[in-house]
Amino acid sequence: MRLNIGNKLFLSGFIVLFFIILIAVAGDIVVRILKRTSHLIVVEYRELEGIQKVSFSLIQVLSPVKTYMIEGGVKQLSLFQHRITDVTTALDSCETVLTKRHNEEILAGVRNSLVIVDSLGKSLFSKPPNASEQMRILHQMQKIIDNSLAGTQALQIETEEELNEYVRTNEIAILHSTITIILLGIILTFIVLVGGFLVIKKITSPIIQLLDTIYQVKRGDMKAKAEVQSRDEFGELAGAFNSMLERIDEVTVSRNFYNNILNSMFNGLIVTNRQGSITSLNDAAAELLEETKENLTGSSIKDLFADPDDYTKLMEVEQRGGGDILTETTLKSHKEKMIPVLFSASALQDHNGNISGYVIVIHDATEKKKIEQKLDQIRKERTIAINEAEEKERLRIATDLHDGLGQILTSVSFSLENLDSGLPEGSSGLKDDLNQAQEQIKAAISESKRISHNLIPLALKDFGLVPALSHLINQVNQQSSIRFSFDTFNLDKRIDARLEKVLFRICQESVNNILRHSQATKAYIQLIRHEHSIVLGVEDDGIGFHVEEQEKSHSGIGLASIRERISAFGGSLTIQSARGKGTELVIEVPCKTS
Amino acid sequence: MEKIRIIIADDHELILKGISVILRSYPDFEIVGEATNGKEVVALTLQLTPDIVFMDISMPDLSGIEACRQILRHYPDTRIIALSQHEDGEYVYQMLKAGGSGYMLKDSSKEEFGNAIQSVLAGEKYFSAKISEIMITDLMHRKEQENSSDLPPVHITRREKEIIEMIADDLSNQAIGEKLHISQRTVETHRRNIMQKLNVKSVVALLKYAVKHNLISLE
Repeated sequence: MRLNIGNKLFLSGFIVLFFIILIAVAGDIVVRILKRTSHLIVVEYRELEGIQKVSFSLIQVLSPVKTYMIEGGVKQLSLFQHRITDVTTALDSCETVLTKRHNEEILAGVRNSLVIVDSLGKSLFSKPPNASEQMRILHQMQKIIDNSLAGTQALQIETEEELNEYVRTNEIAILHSTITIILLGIILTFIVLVGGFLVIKKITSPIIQLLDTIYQVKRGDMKAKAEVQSRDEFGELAGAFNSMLERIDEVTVSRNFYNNILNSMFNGLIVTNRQGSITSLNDAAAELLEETKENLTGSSIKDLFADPDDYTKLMEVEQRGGGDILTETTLKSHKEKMIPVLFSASALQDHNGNISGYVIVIHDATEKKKIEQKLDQIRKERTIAINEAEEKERLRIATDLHDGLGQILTSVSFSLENLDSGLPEGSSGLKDDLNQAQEQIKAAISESKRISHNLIPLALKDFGLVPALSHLINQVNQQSSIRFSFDTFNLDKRIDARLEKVLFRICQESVNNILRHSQATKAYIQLIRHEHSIVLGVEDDGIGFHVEEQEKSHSGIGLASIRERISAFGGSLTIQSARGKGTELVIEVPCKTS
Repeated sequence: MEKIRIIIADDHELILKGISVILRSYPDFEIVGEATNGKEVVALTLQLTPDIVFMDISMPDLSGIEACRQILRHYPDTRIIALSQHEDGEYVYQMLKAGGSGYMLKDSSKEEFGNAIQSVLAGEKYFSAKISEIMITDLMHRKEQENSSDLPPVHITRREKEIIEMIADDLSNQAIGEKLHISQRTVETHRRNIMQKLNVKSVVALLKYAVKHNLISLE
């Protein structure tokens, strides 16, 4: 049988009830005892009363006689008879109340005495008042009455003694009863207290135990278990509680598992609700954004974008397709640090298919950006290096031509010269041939100079951009009908050697283009030095060309390569041209104040 | 009669040989030394104190021009004639600035060598024919520029003129860019160029110049 708490309590109640009944019974017994003793007392009292009545009535008997003897009168006789009747009455009633323990004979004696007294009285009253006779009868009567009185007195004393005894007994009984009741009361109280305590303990103990287990769980010990102590509802509660804990533990384990996954991820994961407010995020996301999870939770993802337009664009795409998007964008941390990321977002759907939010994965693209920038940098440096190499090559060839080949040819010319002066007179034919050879050699020398100069004017290296350009312009002016003019502003000092070469080349190419394609009449070239940059401007009044077309075509005027070289130096190129409107080229390159 | 003492300096053996042969054909000339680099020629010259030095301009260690300077510091009477293949006016200019007495191309004839020596000994400057041509062209060019007073001393390009007009019309850089179909940055570059070229620091000064030289009109 499963004891349930109700039953237990009921049982306890019964026990208490039992003791209450016990006390009631004890009380009842006490009352009965007291009732008996008090009854006895009453009886004795009644006896006493009866006897006293007798005594009293006896005493009263003689007074009418005495009065008759003094006064006479018929009245006294009836009074005397009254009094006798009174005694009789008293005797009767006394007899009824007198218990058998007392001496009945006394009363009988009194009765007899009474009869005698009565007759004596009567005789007294019948005789004329004769003092001595009457006195004698009176004395007789007195004696008899005194005897009777003695008897009643004895009875009275007896009765009084009994009465006292009963009173004593009564008092003792009361004392005993009181003690008994008090004792019982104390015992009962004690039992109730102890019992009550035990019952309470029995009830609260499992509750406290359960509470302890709950606190353990609250502190994080998911393995805590409640003890199943009894087989009642508390036991059931403990058992159910334990199952619940197991269930929670399971759920926590899987939640921990998933949390572990999320927080082990290298990429940041952010979950937002439909309005873009962040509901949860993983460690990587918080780290990337340099902010705590708590601070980010609840904030709007809109605030994370460096360019607020990005957010609206992304979200529009999102709502349109409900699909995913993958794009590059820049986020902004709380400390206003720019973070380039790869950003991918998908719609989060609840089980009804409605969009309940967005799941966003962000991948730190800082490295990628750095690498891109580095590649860009490398490309620029490579371009410059290639240019450098080209220039070196050109310089080498030019030098070889100019100094090497040129010198050799010159010395040949000297040899021929010597030959010429050493010829004897008259060998004019030989002289002519020789002169021709000298001319050819001169021409060869000239040609080699020209070639070398085209490759790179040595003046550029030795004297700088301005003299080299001046020389170039002068030469071109001599060779073509186009009128070139050249101005420089603020170029007293030389600039970076590599920049000089590039600018010279670009100028050379521009001039060549003008010569070849422009059909211009005038052209103007200017070099202007500003505080932090240098500007090269080339303008002509020719037929112009279509800029975009030329840029795309590879065999064109090499605009692309010019742009490439300029951008390697960090400069910019603007070219403005239209058919019939001439051409203008403006190049600006940053230049250190050397 | 005392012979004229000459030192030849050229980093090319063949040239050295060639010139020395030519010079030796003149009985009055005596070649007292040959050098193949700048330092050597300076040392030799200071040691031997020749009358004439034929100096190749482009030599290793010390350039001919620098060597010339150094020599003349010690012996200012030495006549130094530059020998070169460069026909660039700049080289000539630099040589003259350094104190040289003449500039000849290496492929000059025997007569030219003789004339050169005679001229410089007489105190004149000597230049190869071709060099003289170049120098005169340069001079003419420069003179032309100086003399033309009706053109503004500074040439303003077509584009620059357009921009000055628009500045005068109180257009912003952005507006100018839009009108001319160029970027605002390019407009700013042009503005800077103009200010630098005309050597003005404010728009007011710019416009004043423009009015003065009829680049814009005051309507």
